[in-house]
Amino acid sequence: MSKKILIVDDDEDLLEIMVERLRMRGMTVVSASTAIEAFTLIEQQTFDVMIIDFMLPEIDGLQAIKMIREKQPGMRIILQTAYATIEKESEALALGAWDVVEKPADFDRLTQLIKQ
Amino acid sequence: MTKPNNSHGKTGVRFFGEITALLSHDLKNVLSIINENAGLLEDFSLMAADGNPIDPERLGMVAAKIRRQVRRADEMIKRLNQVGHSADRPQGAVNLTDLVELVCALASRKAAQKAVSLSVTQRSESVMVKTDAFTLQQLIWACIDMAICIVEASNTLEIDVKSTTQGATIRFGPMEAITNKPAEAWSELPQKEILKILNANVVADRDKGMLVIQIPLEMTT
Repeated sequence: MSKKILIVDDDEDLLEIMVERLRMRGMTVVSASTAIEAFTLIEQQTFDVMIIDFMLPEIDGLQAIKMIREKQPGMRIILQTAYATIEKESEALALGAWDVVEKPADFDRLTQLIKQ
Repeated sequence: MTKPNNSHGKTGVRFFGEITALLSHDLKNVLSIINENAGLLEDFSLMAADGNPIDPERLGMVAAKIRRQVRRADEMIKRLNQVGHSADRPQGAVNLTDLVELVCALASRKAAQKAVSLSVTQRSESVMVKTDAFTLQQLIWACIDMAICIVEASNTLEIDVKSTTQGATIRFGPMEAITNKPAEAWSELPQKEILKILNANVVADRDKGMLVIQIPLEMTT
């Protein structure tokens, strides 16, 4: 069965290309450009994996993970960030993130994480 | 001009550090997009190897996307270069609107984090002043920084530049917090050291809800 992915990033160009490449791999992909948009989608649909950027307007990726974790405990969350520090990575993992991926992401690694 | 002291030096380094961090973050996004487009080209070549024809129009679209990101990165680097070179001379002729637009472009990402957009208006003919561009950028940055923290989310922070008989003003607003707080509450902002170097003032126009930088036509040395 194909995985259902929610991808959250405020950079429209990045969102567009990521959605296209994940869809080419047979995944069902829904996108959001803010954490608030993501919350609405999570209320309405169930996702296997969420890929979320760290730097988002108003509510950042870490705050979003904290808030989303309770709504869909079964969903795996991958945090994408321009600069992955040990502190940020530890905090994300402690909040319930499945993994932290630094930008530019290794797409093969990302798809492996999704398929795991 | 007042000789910069250590505290001003630290403020300048902090300002440049913040800008560099913000821009390098955005550059990583640009690199990500270029990286994903390269990946997409690889996907196409793998599909072609399996006997699926490549649509030339799709290839053209990928090339256009890469070119757009290169332009985006080039603009970011140009802005960083402009700020870097503004520290070369302690004083010089500055087009105030251009300078405000530069700082706004640099601060746009920071403002977007608070869901605030920035808009610059020039309210009179080209406004030229003789000043310390690097220090003035810090003053504008400090005012934008403070304004985006108090402006309501989803609002636009309007910044206008106007020449006056004594020099020029840069106004930031409208902000309800300016109207509601007494004028003295803003007197400590931003650092006095910067104001002293520029012979500038920051005042609150409570009637219009604006924070106003007043700068002289020529900075006294």
